[in-house]
Amino acid sequence: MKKVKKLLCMMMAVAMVFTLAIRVSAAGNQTEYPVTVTTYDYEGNEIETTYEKAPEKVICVYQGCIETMIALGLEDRVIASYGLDNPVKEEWEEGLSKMNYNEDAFSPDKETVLMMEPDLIFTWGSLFSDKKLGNQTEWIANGTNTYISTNTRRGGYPRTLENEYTDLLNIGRIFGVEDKAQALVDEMKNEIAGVLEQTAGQEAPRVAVIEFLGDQISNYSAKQLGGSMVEALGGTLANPDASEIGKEDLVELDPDVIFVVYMARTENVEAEMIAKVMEDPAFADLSAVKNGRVYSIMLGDMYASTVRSIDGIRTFAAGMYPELYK
Amino acid sequence: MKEQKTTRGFLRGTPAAALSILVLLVLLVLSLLGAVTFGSTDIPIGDVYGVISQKLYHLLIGDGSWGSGSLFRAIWYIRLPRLILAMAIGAGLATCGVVMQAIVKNPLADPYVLGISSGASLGATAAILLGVGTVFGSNFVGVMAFLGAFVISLAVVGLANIGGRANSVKLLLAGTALSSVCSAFSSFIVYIAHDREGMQTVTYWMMGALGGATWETDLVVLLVVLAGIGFFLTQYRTLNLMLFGDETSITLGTDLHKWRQLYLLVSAAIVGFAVYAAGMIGFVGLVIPHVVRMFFGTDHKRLLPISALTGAIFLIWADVACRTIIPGQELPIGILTSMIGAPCFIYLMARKRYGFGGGD
Repeated sequence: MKKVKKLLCMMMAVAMVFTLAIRVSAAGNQTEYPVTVTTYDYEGNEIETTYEKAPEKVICVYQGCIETMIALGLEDRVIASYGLDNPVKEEWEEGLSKMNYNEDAFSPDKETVLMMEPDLIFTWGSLFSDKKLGNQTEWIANGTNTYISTNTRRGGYPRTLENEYTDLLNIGRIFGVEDKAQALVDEMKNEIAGVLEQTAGQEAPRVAVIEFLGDQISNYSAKQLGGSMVEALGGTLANPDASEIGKEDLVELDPDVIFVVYMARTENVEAEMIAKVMEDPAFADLSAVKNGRVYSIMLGDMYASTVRSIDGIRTFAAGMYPELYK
Repeated sequence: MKEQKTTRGFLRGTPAAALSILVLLVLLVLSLLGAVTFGSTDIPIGDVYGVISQKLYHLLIGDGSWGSGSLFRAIWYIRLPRLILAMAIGAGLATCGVVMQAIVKNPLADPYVLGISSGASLGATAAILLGVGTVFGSNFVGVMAFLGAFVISLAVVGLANIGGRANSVKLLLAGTALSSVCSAFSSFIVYIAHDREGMQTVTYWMMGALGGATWETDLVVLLVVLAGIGFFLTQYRTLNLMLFGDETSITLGTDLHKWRQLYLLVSAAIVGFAVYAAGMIGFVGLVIPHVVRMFFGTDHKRLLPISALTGAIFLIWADVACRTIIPGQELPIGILTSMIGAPCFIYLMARKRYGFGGGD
């Protein structure tokens, strides 16, 4: 009898341990509210925001924020969205149609946002200027949480790929969809790891990421997301510091690969931007021009790009290591 | 004796002016009450006045903390403060326009003419792109703009006094020179900072906007503007003399030199605070004084109060237009005032019958 009791006790103990273990593992995937997330105010100071539950009335402004919500399957949480630079990807169109996207205004004004009574505003830092929505701290004090893309934080902080990962994971935590967010981040990390593995031992390609702004050429340095992506993929930036270069500088640098940044506003812009390098007689002797290694990359894929970062990573990798992406 | 080409205006009698001031005051109150019903969202008119009267009642009985909810916040913390700010800035800029035109004896002068705008831009650019002055809190851009405007005004007065006393021409030259210096440094900062978002913010800031209005800034701006207008109202005789130039004034026993500098600094304070609260709003200070002169003549006793009131009413309705022209979005008010103001100015110029006053 005693033995039976003992056995029973043991079995119960084992069962308890098991259920406990299952519970713990379940808790590991499930957000337990309240959740506290770090974001930044308009001056760029760190602020802690607390979520008692997953937000249900979200206002989403600008490309990366809108696409992040769709990619995480959160489109039905969005009550209004604004500010697309270019169309969302085809697979996200249906999601966008559920987000009450506003064609008339590129960004909403304070009164409009206030009257919608959102519980979260997810956007870029610039929207919180005193002439637009006003500082985040004021909104938070009145019950509306804010989250900005970390790479739009004011104060000269380097824009990094790591920040894009952090944003995805934070949004995942806020809405209790950490698995999905983690999967998106893993996809990016795996892509990079794969590239690095296959190109181990190779000499690092020297890369310039440039953008034609009027008569000037801006150079994406190591402190910008584009530069951060190139370095993460094992490339070397031909000039990791300058933000602006002249034609002569580019000739002097003579990078192996040149990426020309474009904004997807007109039909032929990609070809036009590549031609600006390929067909300029001043650049005729550049090795990238001679070897036909001048590529285009969309601004939205490498500027506060969140979920689109994967496209930026792939475009960079394909240009830097064409043999891998045949 | 040379014939004076003053514009007397067709409403030139004192009773007509007094009556006009009264009418404009009533219009100003009606404008405030009317304008508050317009916004980027549809709020029933009954609700708007309900909120305001409730809040006023609670303020009267000493319960200042009354009020909550998004409807209340939209009306009491967004719509009303910006209307009050529009009123204060409109009055301030129109007054400064009148004064500046007298100081430099030039009908093309506006509140920003003596380097104030470039100084403000330099301050704002340094704040936005280099983060200078973040210690001043959330409106550090405005504070830096104010400092820029004020410092440049002092510098203009200083520069104009080098090698002999300042006069209208030297002030204008000093203003133009320092403007160029400031613009060059602003461009330099924009160039080296190379911050896409920052550049957008600077551009947006330059356009001027009333969206940043709060009761705290309203109070400061309103006090400065009222004090400034009050001060200038006591100075109408000297302002009238300025139109006749230094020599005539000396003959009449007034040395304009020190007054000119004092007026300039008072104007700089008003414009500086306007810039601090709303950025640059063009053409109000240029066109309103001209329009008022057409109707009421060049006597500053009438010109000052009527310009101030007209400026206030104009900017209130300009702000309404900004909030309603594009649904769900605000047009920066500086764009709108320039779009309205510039054609008005051209029309005024094209009319031959109009004179600025004074002996030349």
